[in-house]
Amino acid sequence: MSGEKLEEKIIAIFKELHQHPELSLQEFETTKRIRHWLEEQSIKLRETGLPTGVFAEIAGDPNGPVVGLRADIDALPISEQTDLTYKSRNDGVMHACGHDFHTAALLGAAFLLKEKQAELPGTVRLIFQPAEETGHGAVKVIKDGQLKGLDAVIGIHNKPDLPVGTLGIKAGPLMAACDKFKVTVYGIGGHAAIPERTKDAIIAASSFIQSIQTIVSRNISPKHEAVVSVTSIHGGTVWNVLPGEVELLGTVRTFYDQDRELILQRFQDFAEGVEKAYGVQVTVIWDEGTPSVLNDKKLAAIIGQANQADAEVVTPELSVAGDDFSCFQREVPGVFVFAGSNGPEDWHHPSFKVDPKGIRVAANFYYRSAVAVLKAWKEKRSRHHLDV
Amino acid sequence: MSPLTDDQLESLLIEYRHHFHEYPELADKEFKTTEKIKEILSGWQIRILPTHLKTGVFAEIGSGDGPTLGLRADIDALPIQEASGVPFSSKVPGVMHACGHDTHMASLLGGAYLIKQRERELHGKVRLIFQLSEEAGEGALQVIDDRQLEGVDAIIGFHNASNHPVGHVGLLAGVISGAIDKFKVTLTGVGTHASAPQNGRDPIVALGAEINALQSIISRNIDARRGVLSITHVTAGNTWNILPETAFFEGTVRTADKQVREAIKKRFPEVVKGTAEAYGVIAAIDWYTGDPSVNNDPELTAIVRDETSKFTEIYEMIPELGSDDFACYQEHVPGVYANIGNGEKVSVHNPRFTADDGLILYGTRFFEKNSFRLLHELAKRKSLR
Repeated sequence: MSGEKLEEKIIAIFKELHQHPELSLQEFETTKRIRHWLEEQSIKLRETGLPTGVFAEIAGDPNGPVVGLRADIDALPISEQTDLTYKSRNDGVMHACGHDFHTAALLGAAFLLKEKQAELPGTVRLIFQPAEETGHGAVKVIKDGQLKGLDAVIGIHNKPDLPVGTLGIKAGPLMAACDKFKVTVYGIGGHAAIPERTKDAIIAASSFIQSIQTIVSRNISPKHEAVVSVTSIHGGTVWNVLPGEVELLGTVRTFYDQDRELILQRFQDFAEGVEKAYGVQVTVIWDEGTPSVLNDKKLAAIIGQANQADAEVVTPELSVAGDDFSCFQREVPGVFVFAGSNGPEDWHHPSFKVDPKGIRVAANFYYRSAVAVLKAWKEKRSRHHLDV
Repeated sequence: MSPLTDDQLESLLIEYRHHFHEYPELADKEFKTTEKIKEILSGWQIRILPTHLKTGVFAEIGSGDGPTLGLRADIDALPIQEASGVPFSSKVPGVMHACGHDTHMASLLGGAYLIKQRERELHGKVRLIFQLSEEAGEGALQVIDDRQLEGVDAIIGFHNASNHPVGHVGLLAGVISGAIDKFKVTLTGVGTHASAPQNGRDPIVALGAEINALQSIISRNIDARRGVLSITHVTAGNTWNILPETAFFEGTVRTADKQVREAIKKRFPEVVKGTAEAYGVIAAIDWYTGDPSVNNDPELTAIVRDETSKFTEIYEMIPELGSDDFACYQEHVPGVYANIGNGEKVSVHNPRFTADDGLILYGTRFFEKNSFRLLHELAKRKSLR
């Protein structure tokens, strides 16, 4: 496949994925499509017990190392507000985080690797992961045994604020630990005109929202980044009934374990305070999510070097977004890289867009990095053998 | 068919009330309730009047050119999941007679039955108004638009009242309830990933600030005895990792007088817009000027007081800010809106609210006795003219 033809094909794949986004764990059509594209190129699929997600392998030297390349495939419950000709056709669902970009890039890399299969100094395993957005996909993939035998794993995320052709590669922490919370305020409902016979759960909930703003402004060190966001509030159904219950959902992002613990403690403190102050009951359900993305130093150095000639390699800023790629990194050494996508809006925005030209750059990145890591790991092994 | 004894009538009405309670219907959707009321009235040979409204029942007892008295009961329920534990709890998930309209209907049915038994003694007619959509605050207006008030000279009705002994009747001449206004506010910010709030404008933090800021209108800007402002419904976002573009809240304002009503109406947008500006979001306010205060006609109230005191205790109603669209009828004809004690119970609109079966017979007597008495008095007045 010529370079131009490859670019044409993966952009077509990207557009098709963009038009047919699917929510986490419902990526059935996406799974079918990816399988089809891989099988078209006679790429061997791996067996899986998961209903969605695709796993495949391109085996070169059977005695060589095994490197995993990972792309996530799920979309978000957002109504797309772009003017793209290939806009989402699924109402209320949108690839607003560019996982279609990642999937198309990994397919592109797969096609390149397939062409060089015989020369590969080891095996490349392709991981098309479901359910990144819900934070549970990576763990499912690990439980399904898809990481067995891997020596290293490489992943990417598009980055709207980096131009196409730029790669953000960094050793150490890159992305945040990501916890979810559900806070429920139980008051006593009643008539809107007789507030004295109620315990107003809406007032208590709004006071809680205001109070927790001080965690980041007052309790976390100004040297550390941390985010606390309430993303959803629901209480009541009608204009003349004070509800007995209000539910808040949200998320907390941290880079350091001690901050993570502190924030949970402050939530419990404020919950108790609001209970006392407003005569309500407050429950805090803490759903501990993925840990922070921590890049392996050696891997980061190898792939940084491998890509320097063909891309602008920069050191990216820490991102307070989370990615469950970090779960893979707790199993095998891994590196997660930002690929420039030159978009007008940040991730999860209804007008989010990527520049499709970035997909080929990302495909090349996957390809070159896989080959470089296989080579480096093979050399290391043989040195190790010599040492013995 | 021999007429029912009091005991027989009471158990029949309780049976009806339990049926209504088991099958509550929301405002403007009272289809089965409407059918059931029609079936019962027709069974008693009571004349059903034609209507263009899809729900609600209008009927008439009596004849001749004497005066006409309107008797009103509301029939709708609320979007609340019942948690009262009564054996006849709602069988409709998320809908409940949490305001006791089931007892109001049963009482008016009882009154209608007894009046029908003595139809020939009536000095005129009674118009039965089983009114739809009280909770939405627009049922009375629909009834008036449908011309069901035409020819009516006066109107009475009642609401159950917790914290008063069962069957005691509360009365007061003049203003007894608050005027209702409704508001809906949408805050529009800029949506973003939950981890990058600096790239958006968070409407939920703004919502929290709005709700807290609005408290100061009642505590700081008006005579606090004269108004209530409640935010009853908040909604924003649909998942945990996206900061939404918009946040919505709605609620109601109840006021005891015009000045306070105007003051709150002026202050509300100042607070909402100012707070929105502070948080960099845009506030769109919809203000609905609702029903006026219930205002009882002094002369009619005196008559009702005299008649009612013959069969139960009377207590002085304390004007409250809770309201009722019965007020809309009183804009057209003089009326009396009473309370009937419901015993020590939790607040109306609470999922654990219960109405007492015992008040139904008092409601029945209230409609029956006052119908004969008021028509008699109204007929006297008419002939004097």
